[in-house]
Order: sequence, then C-alpha cells, then structure tokens
Amino acid sequence: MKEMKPPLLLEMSRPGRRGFLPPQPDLPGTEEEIVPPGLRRRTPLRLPELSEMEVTRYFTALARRNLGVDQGFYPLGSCTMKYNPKFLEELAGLPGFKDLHPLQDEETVQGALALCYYAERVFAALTGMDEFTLQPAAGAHGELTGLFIMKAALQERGEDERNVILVPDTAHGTNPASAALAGFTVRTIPSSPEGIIEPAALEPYLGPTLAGMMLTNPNTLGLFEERILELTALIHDHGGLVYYDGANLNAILGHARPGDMGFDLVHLNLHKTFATPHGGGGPGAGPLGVKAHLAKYLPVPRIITTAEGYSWSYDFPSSIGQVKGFWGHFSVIVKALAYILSLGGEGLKQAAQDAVLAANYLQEQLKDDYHLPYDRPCMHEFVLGGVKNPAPGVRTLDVAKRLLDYGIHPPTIYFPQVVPEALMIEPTESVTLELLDYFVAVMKEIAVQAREEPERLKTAPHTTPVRRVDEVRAARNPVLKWKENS
Amino acid sequence: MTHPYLPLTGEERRRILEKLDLASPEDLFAGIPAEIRSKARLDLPSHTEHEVRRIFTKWAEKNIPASRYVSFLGAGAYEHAIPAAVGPLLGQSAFYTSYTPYQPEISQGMLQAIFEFQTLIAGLTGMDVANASLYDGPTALAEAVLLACAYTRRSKVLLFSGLNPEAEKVLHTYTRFLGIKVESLPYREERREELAAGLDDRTAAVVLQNPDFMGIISEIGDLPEIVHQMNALFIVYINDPVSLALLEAPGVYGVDLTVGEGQAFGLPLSFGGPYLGFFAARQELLRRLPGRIVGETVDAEGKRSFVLTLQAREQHIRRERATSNICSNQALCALAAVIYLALLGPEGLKETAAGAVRNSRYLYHELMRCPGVEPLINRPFFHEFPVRIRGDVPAITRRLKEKGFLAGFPLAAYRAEYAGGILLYTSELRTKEEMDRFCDELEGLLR
Repeated sequence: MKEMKPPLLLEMSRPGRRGFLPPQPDLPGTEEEIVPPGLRRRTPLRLPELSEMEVTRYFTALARRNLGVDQGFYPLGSCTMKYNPKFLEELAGLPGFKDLHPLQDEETVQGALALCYYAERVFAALTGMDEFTLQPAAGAHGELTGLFIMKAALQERGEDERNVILVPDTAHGTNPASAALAGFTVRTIPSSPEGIIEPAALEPYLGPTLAGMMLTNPNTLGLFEERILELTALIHDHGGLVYYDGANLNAILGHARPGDMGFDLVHLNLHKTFATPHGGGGPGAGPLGVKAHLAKYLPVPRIITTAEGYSWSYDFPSSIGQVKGFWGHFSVIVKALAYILSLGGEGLKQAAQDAVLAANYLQEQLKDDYHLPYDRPCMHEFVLGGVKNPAPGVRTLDVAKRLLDYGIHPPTIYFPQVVPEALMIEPTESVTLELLDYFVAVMKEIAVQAREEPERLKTAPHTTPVRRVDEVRAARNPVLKWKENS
Repeated sequence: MTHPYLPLTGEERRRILEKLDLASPEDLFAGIPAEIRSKARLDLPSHTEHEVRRIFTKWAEKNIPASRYVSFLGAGAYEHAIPAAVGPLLGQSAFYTSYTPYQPEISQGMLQAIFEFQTLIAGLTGMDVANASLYDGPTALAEAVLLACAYTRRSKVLLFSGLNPEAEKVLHTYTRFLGIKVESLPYREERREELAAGLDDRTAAVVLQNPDFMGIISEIGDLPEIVHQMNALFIVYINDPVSLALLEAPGVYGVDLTVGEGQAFGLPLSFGGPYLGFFAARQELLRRLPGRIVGETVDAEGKRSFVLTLQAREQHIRRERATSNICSNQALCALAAVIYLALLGPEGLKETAAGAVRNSRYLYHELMRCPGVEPLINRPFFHEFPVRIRGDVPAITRRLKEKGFLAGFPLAAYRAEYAGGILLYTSELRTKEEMDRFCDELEGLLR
C-alpha cells in the first residue's frame, strides 16, 4: 500500500471545520464584553481547523511513521528500552489518580500520599538508601537535585571552597551538565585500559577543593566498577560526597545496591529500570534517594505520617527547597510501583540476570565481526568499536542506519566517546532467544555487507518512511516552525 | 522464575549459560565484591495482575478526585474539557513506547508532532521560536532566568507581584547556589510603579506572569521597552495558555521570552504531574535555548523530513558547557497538547477561554451580592479571581466540601496580607446552576 505523506496541520486546515465543541455556558456575554479592549488578542489565532476524523487520521498516520518498543527490537545502550506493560497504563488512568488536583486538601488525597510514601520506602529498600524524594522529573533533574543537596551540605559545613565534581570520561553528558548547572567545576577522570576507574586516577583531585564524584555503575561500557568500595572510601576520606547515576541500575537490581557501595545519593530513572514508557523522549521520572546524613536537605514538601494520616510537611529548614512545581511525575510513579509489585524482589533480580545474560550472549557472538575493545564479561550492556575490516568509508553510522531496514532500532552510537566508532548495545530482559539469534544474524549479515556491498550501507536505510535525512542542512538553515508559503 | 514480563524460559537461560561456558548466572556478577552482593536481597513478594490492581484500586478509592466535586480549584493547575479523542490518539504505542527521536528515519511521527508543537506554541505566544518542551512551567521559568543571566552577564532578577508560588519557589532553588539574587516587587496599583521599585542597570531579567496567580490580567504595553532600556530581558510566564485565545500574544509587545505551563492543553490534573513546560523566544536567543529543538530538512530523495537540530547546545554534545542539563523532556505531553489544539482549533479554543471567563464574571458578580464576601484586588481578571470572606475560611471551605464543592485555593498561606482570601477558578465546565448553588450555600454559611 502506498503511503500518503501527511502534510502539516495548518496546511490541511480549512475554514469552518470543527474537531470539538467545548461545553457552552448557559450565560450571556460576548468575547468583546469579557476582555477589556486594550488586552484583547489582535494577532490572528493560527490554529488548524479540522474535523475529528481528519485529526484522527493525521495522528494515526504519524504513529505509522514512528517506531516504539512495541514495534520491534530496541537494543539502545544506556536507555533500557524494556517492554512497557499495558497494565501500568490502566492503573495510572484510574479516576482516583488521574483526576486529582495537586492542591486538594490532604484529607481527600490520602490514597495518593500513601502510595507515594510507600514508593519512597520501596525505592529506599531497592537502593540501600534511607530517604527519597519523588519530585525530580527525569534522571538529569534527579542529578541536579542531588548536586544542589551536595552544595547545601558543603555550605552548611562551611566548606564553600569545595567546588570540584569528578566525572569519568565514560559518564553520561548529563553528569557534567548538571554539575555545571549547580555551580560546580567539572574535572574528567580517565578510565583505565580495562575500562574502569582506578583509585590512582583520583589522586590529583583529592584536595581541599574536592566536592565529590558522580559515577554510573555498571559504567557506560557495561562494566562493573570493581574498585568501587575503594573509590567511595577515598572520596569520603577526603571530604567529598559520592553520587550514583541510576541510569544503569537495571543491571544489578537484587544483586547489589548503590547504598552498600558507599554512595551518598542515588537517582532512579523510572522510565528505564521500572518499565514506564519513554514517551518519545519523556516524561520520565527521576526520584532521588540519600543516606540519612543528607536527608535534611531533601526538597520540600516531604510526606510525613501523623496521627491523622499522611501529610505534606515544609518543616525542614535545611531543605534546598522545591525543584519542580507540585510533587513530581505522579502517574509515572504509579506505573513504576505497579511494575515493582508485579515482579517482586525475586522477579527484579531475575530481570537483571536475564538482561545480563542477554547482553553477554550477544557480545560473545558479535566479537568475531565487530571490534570488542574490552573483552571480558559485561553487565547489561556492552560497547563494540565498529565493524571489523570494512570497505573504505563504511562507518558505525552506516551500520546503525542499515539495522533500520531489518526493523531493528539501532544501538546507541558514538558513545561513550572513549571507544571510536562505538555501538552500545543493551538488549534488556525483554527478549526471546529467537530475537537474540535474529539480531546476531542481522549484525553478521551487515558485517559482510560492510565488506562487500559498502554502497548498500552508505545509502541505508532503504525501507523506512524517509531516507537518510540531511542534518547539516537542518542546522545550517534552521526551519523550526511552519510558515505560510515556506 | 516465570513471569509475563520475563520472556526467557529456564531452558533458554541454560542454553545461554552453556554458550557462555558458565556454570551459574551468578558467575556473571562475580565482579561485584561479595560484601556488597550479600546485602542486596529484597524482601518483596511478586503479585499477579489482579492482585496489583486490587492494591492500587484501594489506594485510588482512598482519594476523592476533583472530578467528583463541583470544583473551583485552579491556582496553577487548570481543569478544562478534554476531547475524548485525545486519549486514544495519544495512546498509540508507536508514540508512547518510542525513545527520543535520535534516529529520524523511524521517528518522523514524533518529530513532525514536535515540529507542530513548536509551530503552535510560537504562533500562540507570538514568539519567533519555541523548543520541544521542558519539564513544567516552574522549571521552564527557572531555565529562562538562567538564560537571561548568562546572556546579560548579570545576576539580579525581578519578579512582578503575582507570580505563581510554585514557580517562585523553584526559581529560588535553581538560583540560590549560583549567586543570583531574586527580588519580588511589592504589589502596586500599576505595574509601572512596581517596576520602578527595583529596575536598575544590574537587572538581568524581569518576570511578569499574565494572567497572574490571582487571575489578574496586565496590560504589557511598553513595559518591555522600559526594561530593554536597562539592557535587561523581559520574561512573560503563562500558567494557562488557553488564555492566549483571547489575550494579545506577548510577542507583540517585544518580550524576549515567553515560557509557561502547558497542562491546560489536554493533560489531566494527575495530582500535579507529568505536566508540560513550554519555552518560546526571540530569534536572537535561539542558540541559547535549553532542550531539544526539531527542524525541518529533506531526506536523501529530497522529501520533507524532520530532525533534532542545533544539538551543539545540548548536554550529550557540549557536556558541562551545555545550555542546560535537560535530556528527557515531556515529548508525550507536547504531543497531547498538539492533539488537543488540533481538535479545538481557533473557535474551540476561543469558546473554551470565553466560557471560562464568562463563568468567572458571573460567579464574581453573584458573590459580590453575598453579604460577607468582598473583592480582594480591583483589577480586570481572567478565569480566576480572589475574594475575601468574613468568617472562618477553613471551616467554611470544609462545610462547602461536604456539600460537594471544592471552594478554591485559600490564600492565607500564599501571602499573610491575603488572610481570609480564597482564589476561585471557573472553567468552562461550570454551569450557572452549579454557581448559583455554590453562592446559596456560601451565603447560608456566612449568615
């Protein structure tokens, strides 16, 4: 079937069409009467005029031009694109959750507060931390909240001169960006030839300006930081705090807890580890946990229990304050908690184990055709260094684009930057053995094509709704909104 | 263990282990120090779908949602009619289970939707460009202020009176460790007078919420010009962009940034989140924008395509020198807003706004006839307004709740001088009969 390319909404618009009739108040009055003339809108209101059918077909057509986890394999490294159970959506949609106004009095939201309070306890148990806030909207927002807390703690200790945050060269870009946004200076720590951080690498920074370190464990190479206890002890001994980036927590749930590794702060990515959908880029949720010594700095309000039940409390004078409007991404928290209760402790542990098994299975079978810079068992993901012996000019980008022709979302590419031509592969536990074998077969086929049919790769993808898009043109001459006659 | 979310069977796990030449899956975790591994056991039973549903239904039933009341509660989160088609269209799994559209060839659906979002937000606000979304209104305002401070290399920010307290609190948190001073201007009858109380050549930005937290509409007029004379930026914060259907677009007045909360565009109240931050700017500020931006381009065959662009601003490229740390945003919420706006169209959005405003006028006038109810601020308002009640506000709102009304937002906690005040919001969903009943009940309680 030939696909009709959807035009843009304002191109489809025809005067007089309606897609929705809002409730009509049974009161007199015209627009002219209700807004004083000096304040009234004179700029034309350029919104599409479409019938409901057209709107439905339009967004159905757009959905066909998009690939989600439900449409195919998504081994996107560091993103944990696991299956998003349908059931979670049902629960988040219960009227008792969906229609709650955030400012209703506490008496009428006791169930929501109980749920959030319980979620905090469960997150604490999973991570080995003492107290949690559900406010942060995403992983990077959790990082920022944690870094604010580190600032507050250091300031209260009278150690304002501690302003250096260490991040490994394999860290997610959000780590240094969050640290800078919180007012810290960032220093990059090189990882060792084995792909992990050696305690000796920290030595140059263990001085009076050390504020702390941010670490992902397992790191973005998919390797567990085996010297973790020495690293966290070293930072603590020199007056710093240690932050755990929870992006890769799916690898170790039930096997190891950040709190037991010596971390002071931990954020969770509920949209990764706990199966809430990524939503095409968000919303996620990034609850933040801390050890008891930092609990007084957590954002307000916090949920407390009183004789009357659950209650919001602002009575935490050392708190950094609020980091987000209202209380957090409530519906995302509902979904994550439902996922956790469904699997239970053993199930979460099994999920981590399956994710690690799957990653090792792929790594083992792909290393003949692709460079494997760190040849040792991995955790939930691994990084390949591009295809071996390709024809001239064939790059990792071409391999990624070619995967699209097989209905597979490509791995994360060119990250971490320490591996040239990186392909970062994370299958997650949401796989069957047939699927893993199919992926291996496809990757091997592409490796052959990279040697023998380079053009086929360089011009890939061939079967997608659009062919390779011109990113340079987009950046050089930015067209960021629709204009008439453009 | 067998579970619907874990597709691998025991037999498959054994085969993988064999392939890896391992005796036990535990061997894969051998790199984790034993003293860490021994503490990791989590004591939490698994549950069937049915059992989980029972647990969550019990929690849900311990809440009384706003939809079960005749609600006059707004104060930053606004109930509006949501067309039934929004849910199913948004619920298509190719949208909600997809990742950030870094692979444009298989993400044209989401990319095009975000491009539409940028178009509609820029059009509504009258600004040159808009980004793909931020977490919510308050964090969008914080980002706007940080942008202004970086752009002007100054560190003082002025807030006109009437900024949403949530936004104000978040702004204080974001700025306190960066040496940025946030000053609230005292309330004056005229906005110009407020401005005169604080504007100087150290000011980086001035923030005006419109309509403000108390529902008051301001004439922006030449305020931006006055601010520009000091080489500072003028930021408008909008908490319910439905208002833009009737109120002049801020861009017309030459403001530099218009940011705000987009929840009112088709998102449920959902106990405060997820909502939708929007961020629109003058062209000149484009390369300082936080977050993702979608641009139009062509594919290898010359077909119109969309792609994430100007990424050199972002954390995954620029790391500690990025314009913001944001990665995940509110893409799905932005999609909801686009679907909502596509369905409502210009007439639907105008009727929605006009309905809400007409209701607020009616309720206000009816309340003014109740002995014991007085106006609190005498300025034109939009779909929300404050009144002062002579009486015990907590006791009165409690009684009204028993009668099935959410009687607005008590203002005593917001500003001490507004003790006895409540802020009442009337959406287009309210009817004359409901408002009459509310006035009767209130009058009865004040008698």
